[in-house]
Amino acid sequence: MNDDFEDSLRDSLHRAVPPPPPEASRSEGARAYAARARRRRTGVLAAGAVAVVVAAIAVVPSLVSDGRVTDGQRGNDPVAAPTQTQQSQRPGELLDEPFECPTGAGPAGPIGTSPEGTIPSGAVLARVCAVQQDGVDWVPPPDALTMDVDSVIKTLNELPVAEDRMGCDEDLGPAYVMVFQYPDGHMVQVRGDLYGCKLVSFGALERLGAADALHAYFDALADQRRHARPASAIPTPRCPVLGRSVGESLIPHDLSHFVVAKAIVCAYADYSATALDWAALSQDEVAELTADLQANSGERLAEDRPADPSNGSPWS
Amino acid sequence: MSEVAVGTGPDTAVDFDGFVAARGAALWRTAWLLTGDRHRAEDLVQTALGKAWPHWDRVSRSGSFEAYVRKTMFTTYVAWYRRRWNGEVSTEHLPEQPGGDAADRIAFQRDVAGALARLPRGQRAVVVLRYFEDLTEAQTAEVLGCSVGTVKSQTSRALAALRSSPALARPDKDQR
Repeated sequence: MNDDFEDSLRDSLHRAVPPPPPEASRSEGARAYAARARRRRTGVLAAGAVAVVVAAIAVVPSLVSDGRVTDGQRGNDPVAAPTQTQQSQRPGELLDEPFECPTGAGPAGPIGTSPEGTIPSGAVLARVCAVQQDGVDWVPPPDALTMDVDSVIKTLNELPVAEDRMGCDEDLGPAYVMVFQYPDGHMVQVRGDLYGCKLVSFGALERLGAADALHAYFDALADQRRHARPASAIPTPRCPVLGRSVGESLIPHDLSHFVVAKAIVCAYADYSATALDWAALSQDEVAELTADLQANSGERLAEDRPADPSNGSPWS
Repeated sequence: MSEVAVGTGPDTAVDFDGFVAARGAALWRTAWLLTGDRHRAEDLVQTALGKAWPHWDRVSRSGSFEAYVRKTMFTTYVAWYRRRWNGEVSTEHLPEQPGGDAADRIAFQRDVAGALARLPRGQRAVVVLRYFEDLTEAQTAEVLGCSVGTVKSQTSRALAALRSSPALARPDKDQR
């Protein structure tokens, strides 16, 4: 759409901007800013007067029996776990080129969408890839879902269609792309926003419930991992940007299926939304964190809570 | 100093100082529309440049440093604005009060900045990106790290709000 008002707005914006001030040693200022940031980092860390946030990657343990993790996923040496290629054959491995999440900006290439808002059943592989955004970062499970992919598709297809989002809080936050691959190799993707209205974009049509769809994926992956070994490479999490609800949406419904594979503690000072420094938690600390998460999560975290008005959404 | 191309080739033709000299004013204009204040605009530009400067060597090789700085500036604006400047009272008391054409111009600036200031900051960012930076919906979504659907919905809401703004709805073009 490009009506007269939009043209007028474009013109008004350009006319309204006052002349910039003379070049004000901005490059020197930028270097000074960076230097101050380094000094603040050193000083604040030395004083210990920092806010801390724990960022963790919750993964599904490969084998869970009697509530205990029974393989090498717990602790700091996930590399010891078997690689995905050593796992028992699953449907997705029959594909000539099973889809892998790319690094960088996100999935690209010949991946279709489903503008009508229905994902076809029959996919043999699904993956969740993080949408890399400046300052909003998270790490999805590294292994593909190859068992009961249709259960996730069913969840997606049954999500309510988004019609009127006027009441939604649309803060910026993490997002994912879920890619489904079919026996002939072709792929279909949806994008889910784990913030605001939690929209799932199928193309032109959007549904509500991106967190529900992701949880359905997690649940299916947990079930798959009960029957097979998990992927080996559990990356180290990265510090979130403060003020963005990164963690809340990513914690699975039922943490009894999950363990924290890696966790870091991030230090922040008041002036900055980004972390000054981080440190990895030890194996014992990770175990303690896992116990704490399992004791304090569940239904409370599963609620799709309305936005906290005090959170200061940029959209409302 | 010639303009630095955005995303079309390495920025290595200029160094960081050259980039700032060439593009600083353009960045400031965008920052002014976001903040509605000269000093805050400068603060925002300085902050974005300061955060981006350590990455100059890496990012400039791909010719995308300006895009990197702009993205940093918008995400900084959206993420920090409520923390740093939530006491803002936009454009009510401009220091300059000259008469004649200059007064009209400043009044127009104040009206436009006031209309933008009444938008939620995310919508303001979308408006600036779409109608000042002339980015597409997809490009805007990429900068803000949200979906195209969000850009569309927020653009629609912002336009609905701005249409009711006397400053933007008035028919006169006396500032041309």
